[in-house]
Amino acid sequence: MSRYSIKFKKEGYLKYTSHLDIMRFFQRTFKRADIKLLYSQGFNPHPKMSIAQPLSLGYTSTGDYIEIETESEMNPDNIYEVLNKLMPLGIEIICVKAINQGKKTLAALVEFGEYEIKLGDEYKNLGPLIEPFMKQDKIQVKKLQRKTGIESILDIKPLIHDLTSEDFEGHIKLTMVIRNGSQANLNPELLLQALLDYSNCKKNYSGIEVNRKELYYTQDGKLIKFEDYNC
Amino acid sequence: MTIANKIDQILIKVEKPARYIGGELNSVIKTPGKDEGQFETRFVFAFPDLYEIGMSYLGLQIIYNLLNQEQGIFCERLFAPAQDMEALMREHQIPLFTLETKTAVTQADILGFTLQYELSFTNIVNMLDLSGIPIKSQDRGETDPFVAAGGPCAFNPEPLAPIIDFFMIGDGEELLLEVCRIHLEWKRSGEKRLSFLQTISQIKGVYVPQFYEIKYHEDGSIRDVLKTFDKAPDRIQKRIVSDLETAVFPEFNIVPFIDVVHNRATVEIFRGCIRGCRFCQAGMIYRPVRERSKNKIKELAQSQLKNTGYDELSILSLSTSDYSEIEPLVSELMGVCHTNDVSLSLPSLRLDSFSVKVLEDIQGYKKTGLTFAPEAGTQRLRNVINKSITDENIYYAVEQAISLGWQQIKLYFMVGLPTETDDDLDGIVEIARKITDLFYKSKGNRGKFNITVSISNFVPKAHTPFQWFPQCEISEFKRKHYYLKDKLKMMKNITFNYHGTDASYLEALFARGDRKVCDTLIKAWEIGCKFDGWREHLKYEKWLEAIALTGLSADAYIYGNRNYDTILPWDIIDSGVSKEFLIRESKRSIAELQTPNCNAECQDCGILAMHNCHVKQVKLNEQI
Repeated sequence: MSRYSIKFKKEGYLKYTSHLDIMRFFQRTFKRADIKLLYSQGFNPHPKMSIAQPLSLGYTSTGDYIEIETESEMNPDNIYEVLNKLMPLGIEIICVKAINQGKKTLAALVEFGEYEIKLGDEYKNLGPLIEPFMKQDKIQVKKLQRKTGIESILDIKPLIHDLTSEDFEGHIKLTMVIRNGSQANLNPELLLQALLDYSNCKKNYSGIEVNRKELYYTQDGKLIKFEDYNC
Repeated sequence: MTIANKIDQILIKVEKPARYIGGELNSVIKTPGKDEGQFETRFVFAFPDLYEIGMSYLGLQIIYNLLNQEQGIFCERLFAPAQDMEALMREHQIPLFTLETKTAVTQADILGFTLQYELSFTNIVNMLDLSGIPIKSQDRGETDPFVAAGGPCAFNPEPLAPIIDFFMIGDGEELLLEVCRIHLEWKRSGEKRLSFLQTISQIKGVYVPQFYEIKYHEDGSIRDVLKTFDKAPDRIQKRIVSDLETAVFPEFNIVPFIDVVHNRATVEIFRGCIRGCRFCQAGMIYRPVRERSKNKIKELAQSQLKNTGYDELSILSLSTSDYSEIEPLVSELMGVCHTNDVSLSLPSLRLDSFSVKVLEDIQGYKKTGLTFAPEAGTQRLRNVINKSITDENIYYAVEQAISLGWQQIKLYFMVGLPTETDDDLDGIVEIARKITDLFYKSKGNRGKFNITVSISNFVPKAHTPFQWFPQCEISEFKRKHYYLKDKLKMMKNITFNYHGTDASYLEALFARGDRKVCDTLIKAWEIGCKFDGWREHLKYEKWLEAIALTGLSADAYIYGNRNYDTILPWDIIDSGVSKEFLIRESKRSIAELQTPNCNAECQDCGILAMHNCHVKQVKLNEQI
């Protein structure tokens, strides 16, 4: 048996499919590809397959990861080739790597995510504001607890690793590296809202495009791309 | 801005946006043109309900496969948008669009609705309106799509006759292809709309309602049917696919991204039914019985599993156990499922010692419920409806099931059946009580045990021996429900469900209605009715208002007694089953006489005049 990490893109209309839809999709794809996954033991056996970090519905991704354990050892290049032939428009396999048995699961490894948000040119004035915005002692946002309906004040500064902007074909593109994963998590739109509030821009920003580019873990205090995960 | 751009602005705001995106595995895209792989005729297959419902319907997969294999024809899909999506589409002035290419439905050549249940009819009106296509046939012009319909409810087409340009009656596999091929030629010829309708009216199975004018008596019943196009047939014979073995059947099913009602590979094992239950429309209109061979079924199952990656396989028919080689079929399919690591689902199984054992093998420790459909509580009433299950059958199977560890039993019954009395309702309670006793006798007080008693309301349907009977009155339905509820609530471990009477009343109106009910349908839609099949969306008060506003004597359709000489609105459709047979069966029901099934003895139902009958042939061969 062997473990593999599969990097894939999810774009176009497929951004409207949910995390669970994609899980189901991959489970079927492995069946079609005749790649036999290991099953968990117990009364309700599940295939050993997990997505590193769920993606919000409506976001595209050019760097998502799914981890599988197979019954027998396979050549990662073969997995790559077989899978890519079976992908519908909107999903593409970028690379497949073998990972060592003893290592942490990808899901447990995720610490940061890199997001790109494209905004129209009416947001052009945001660029110069980023530096003073990030220099604040605290970046406070109001967050509504869905279950209790209570609004709480949250300092999201510790959750932000990096925030930059660039002009991009008449748009402005924000790139943010923020906490993702089970230990701490920041919603990219919450950061965007904080920035808009700071700039006194009261615009309704629905219809923006959010893309997740990459996931990171840390080693000796440094951020390392999942793609470079050392096996 | 294109439709695709416009919907990109609203999809993020709606529930389950993947309902509207298309692009699923095995979906097909073609481009317009005359070259290989391109299309000239765009057929839009419309299911007048949500994506999750429509995508679970095997007929869609059959037709989609069939038409897209054909050079020059492109079949796209269309479903009813949910109310949140509809509101945004209207707000942003986005017309209804196809899933495959996000093309406005007005660009379709033929828009074909499948009619699976009467309470989806308002959705058809709504979908035409959302598309910007005139609702009534007479208001459509040369550039509008043809609006077609088929499916079981097309066997009483009259309530939709003013809306639909042409109906296709019976099996669609061959008929749809013929119609689309003629359309292709007609489109090239540049002839008028009317000439297409006249041409296809000559094909067996096509009903063009505008070629018939209905004359009524003063009491509203039908006096005469006059033809306005003299070459139109007097009666429309349904189409029958002779050989399922060679008929097109999907091997590349579209696999939805989202969870739909049935997410599984499905192979139809036979069409038709030998049983002849007198309330059952499907048992009459799908005659004769035609089987697919065991090997073909296996081959299709394997192919579907390979092409879809599904983890469940199901077989489809009106009565699984009546398949001639059911035991070897099931055991071989279990082998296929085992090899592919998928589970097997066997619906419509008659519970006997064989099937209980099979279910034990399939379900193992994950036992779901076992389902019985006695339909009536006493042997007398089961004789009336010709349901051949006996009390002994039920108790024998239940005893076995309990000993194998089942703890949940579901029982389906109908109320409001012809000749029903409170004794028959008591019979339902008695069956539930006896099953509980059997459980405690076998298991003592150990274990959880539950019986679900589900009651549906009898709706008299066209082309059945019960087509002349009135429906039970709403107040009487309600009394029966409460009568059962009172008695069953005294007992532990019983869950009691029953259907809404309002929905059953409307279902009967459209199951038995003629052309005059169409205006009521359109009026009901105008004042806000849609998704009537969904309990949470059904607005009965609005329906009553629509009935009053259009001056329809709805009660007359639903409660009126019709005698055997009455011209029925659906008499224009020839289902192959003769009126003589239906009358004979109707009389036998009153006499409380069962009629043997087709395997036991041919009942001369009339289908032989239209098509040979495999069951009859087997009988004859045995005699020789």
